[in-house]
Amino acid sequence: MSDSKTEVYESFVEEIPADTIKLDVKNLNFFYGKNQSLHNVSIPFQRQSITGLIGPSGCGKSTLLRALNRIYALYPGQRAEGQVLLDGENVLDRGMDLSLLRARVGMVFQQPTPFPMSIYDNVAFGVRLYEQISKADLDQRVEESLRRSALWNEVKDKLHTSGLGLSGGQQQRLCVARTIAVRPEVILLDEPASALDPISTAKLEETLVELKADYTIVIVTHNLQQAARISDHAAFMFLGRLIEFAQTAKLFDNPRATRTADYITGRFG
Amino acid sequence: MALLDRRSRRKAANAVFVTFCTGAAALAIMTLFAILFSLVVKGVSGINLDIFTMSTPAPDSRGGLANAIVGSVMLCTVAMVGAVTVGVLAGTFLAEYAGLNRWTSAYASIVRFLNDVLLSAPSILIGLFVYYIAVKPVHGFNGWAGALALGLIAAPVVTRTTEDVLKLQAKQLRESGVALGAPMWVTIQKILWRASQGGIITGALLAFARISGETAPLLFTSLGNQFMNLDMTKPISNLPAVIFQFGLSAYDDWQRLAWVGALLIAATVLTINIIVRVLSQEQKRS
Amino acid sequence: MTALPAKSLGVKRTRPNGASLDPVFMLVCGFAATLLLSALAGIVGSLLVGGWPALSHFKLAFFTSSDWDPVQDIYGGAGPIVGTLITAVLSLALALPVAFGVAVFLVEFCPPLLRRPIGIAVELLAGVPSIVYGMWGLFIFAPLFRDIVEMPLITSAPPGSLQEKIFSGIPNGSGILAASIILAVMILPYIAATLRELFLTVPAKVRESAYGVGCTTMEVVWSVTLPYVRRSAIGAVMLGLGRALGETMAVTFIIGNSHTFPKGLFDGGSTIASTIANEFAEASSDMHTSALIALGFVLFVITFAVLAIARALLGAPKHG
Repeated sequence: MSDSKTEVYESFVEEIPADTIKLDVKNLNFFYGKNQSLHNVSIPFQRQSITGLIGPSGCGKSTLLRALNRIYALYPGQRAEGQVLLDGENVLDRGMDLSLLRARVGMVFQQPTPFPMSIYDNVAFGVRLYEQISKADLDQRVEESLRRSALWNEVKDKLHTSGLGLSGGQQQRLCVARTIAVRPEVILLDEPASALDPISTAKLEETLVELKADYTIVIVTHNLQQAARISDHAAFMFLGRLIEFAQTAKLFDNPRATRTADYITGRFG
Repeated sequence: MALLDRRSRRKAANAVFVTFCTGAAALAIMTLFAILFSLVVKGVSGINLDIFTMSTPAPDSRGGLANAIVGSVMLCTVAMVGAVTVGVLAGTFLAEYAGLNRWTSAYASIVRFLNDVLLSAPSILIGLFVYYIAVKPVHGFNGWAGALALGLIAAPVVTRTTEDVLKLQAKQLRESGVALGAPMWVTIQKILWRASQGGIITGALLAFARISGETAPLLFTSLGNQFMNLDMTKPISNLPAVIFQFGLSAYDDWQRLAWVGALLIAATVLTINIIVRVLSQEQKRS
Repeated sequence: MTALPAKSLGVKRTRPNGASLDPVFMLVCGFAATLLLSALAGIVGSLLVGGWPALSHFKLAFFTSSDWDPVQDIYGGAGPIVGTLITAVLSLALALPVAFGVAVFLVEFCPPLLRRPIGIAVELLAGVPSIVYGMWGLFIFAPLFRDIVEMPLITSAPPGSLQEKIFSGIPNGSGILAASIILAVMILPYIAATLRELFLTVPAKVRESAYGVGCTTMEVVWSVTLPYVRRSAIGAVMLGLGRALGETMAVTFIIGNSHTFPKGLFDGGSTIASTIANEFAEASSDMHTSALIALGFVLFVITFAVLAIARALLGAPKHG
């Protein structure tokens, strides 16, 4: 039995081939004012796959996610140090254009947040920000996005009614559609199913698995079964540190760190 | 035995208390209904077509309130346009930009406090101030000054409601706009304002209700005008000033017109308040 | 479903339209906030500058003398200042118990069927413009008050008694007490509506458990509800006081507009606001104008103090 202190600091990170890495986090430290909430986190995210972030609440998994598109920059006093390389380019660089970054790295939140406008305008909102395209092209983009988020059949007859009238699960898939309409490269999801019923959750998961053919997907979840079902790689975080990163099957069946094992067998958290 | 005494004393005290409260409620409600009753009785009897077609008369001659009604609508409309513009923007500053850094948050708390002071400052003092900046320099009472005074009364109300409703919006709604790469101001205008629309409209309506009956600040800004006037650079007639002048006069027909004016104003204010209630009920439901 | 190859998704983008306008919009919002701030600064400044000639000329006498004489251009503001304080305090003393009773009635033992209509009526009446109360006071209330209250009290007073002193004045239905009553009627719905809302913030559990141990309604109100909302309730009452202090129209109609020191409750008097409303547009000299503005400044200071206290109490945590 090793000293518990070193155990906390030791992290087991499985290597993945360098040319398949889309987003590479290196030695990331994160601060809320004076409180450090991420300690030297290094983790690679593979392209065209789903990576699940798991861990007890307060472990820093959402913080890590929020560093990837720098949404934390909305709040003064929050800052990140280290590197987040998107195709080799450091996202944390001062000169990074945040709007363009967020167009490349989309995000879906815990609570469905449809905008107070029609379903069509919800999806077109982001597109209109960046592109001057014809009505026909826009129509096509909206349809394509809604199809890919498996919502088209449910809403095609009421595109111009308010997005607020949809059910919770539909709203969340609308948020996914809205995000992919901008054609990002990475999609971040912060516990996207925690407010949904089991059927809606299943539909959302199905959608994500289909989307991974084209996107790099990072999902934070507190639901271990969900991570096991849909993710290709999984990362277990604890107290602001990355404890273990591995292929999902390996992490769940054969964890290398005792803490990981304790967590996935339900001994704490 | 002593216990029983105690209990009956407590019961008696409570009976007195209940009687007092019920009596107070009855007294208050009776008084308030007496006011509405006499307003309706005195006001309705004076309503006829002349009220809406003729201007305020000289004593003992035929006339109506048309110039005052038109004037009031003009003054209030101009005031509201200004107040909503300033109020929504200022409220947005307080809700969205105050947290930007230490300086903005200090500035915002000063503005927030002074806005509250302005909100409950006696309206007659606002009139005095406007007299100084918009009447004295141009040597004459004018409609713009009246509208400015009313706007200064309405703007703090709009500012406060706007700040309150914006703060009620979910943090994630704000973040999802930004997460799509939308600039903050687009997020605010297209998403947050729209989501807060109902609340902002409610605040504006309440502000409108408040200024439509304001008299004091108009007495030395817009003053009044015996004739129909649509020129904002000249004195403009308005209902509250007419009620004040005619009500305190010694002529019966002037007093009758004052009652009609009071009824019109009260009816407008009550209608707006009822609309606001219905609106916010519907919002709660959806 | 058309699965696009991953590469074609990397669209070339320019910065979103209007991204550079962010600081502009923020400045515009900040400017609007500054407008409000400068309006208040302007009010204080103009009152001080405009009132300064009178304040510096009459010095302390402005506050102590009640000699208000436009003909000789001598102005002592004690009459209106004291009138303002007396009417405001009297009206609060009259309105508060009744408003408290109304609020308790609505929260504790109003039949459920009536609770909503009465609650709504009280709130609606809080929004009725003050000039309506003024009209009612002048035409309906004053004659009644004269016949039912003033005449009997004055005629029945033994010469030299306390009663004669308190109720001295001309029995014409207007005066300090009449104005205070009208003010009380005006602020009553406001205070009642606020108190009712405060009482409703007391968690039902807390009240129910008090009833559960056998408390009477009165004991629940006194020892549970009131302590729970004490600070905010005082704050709300102070806001009502602020309204009464600055109210113009409801008072001007009925206070009798005399600048002397009121000698009794039925005597005519004036408040700062009513004096300004009556005289400002027709001020006879610059000193007259300045004296009126100086009165305005005094009113501002008083209401500001009341508001600051109210805010400090309302802003503090509920348990005081």
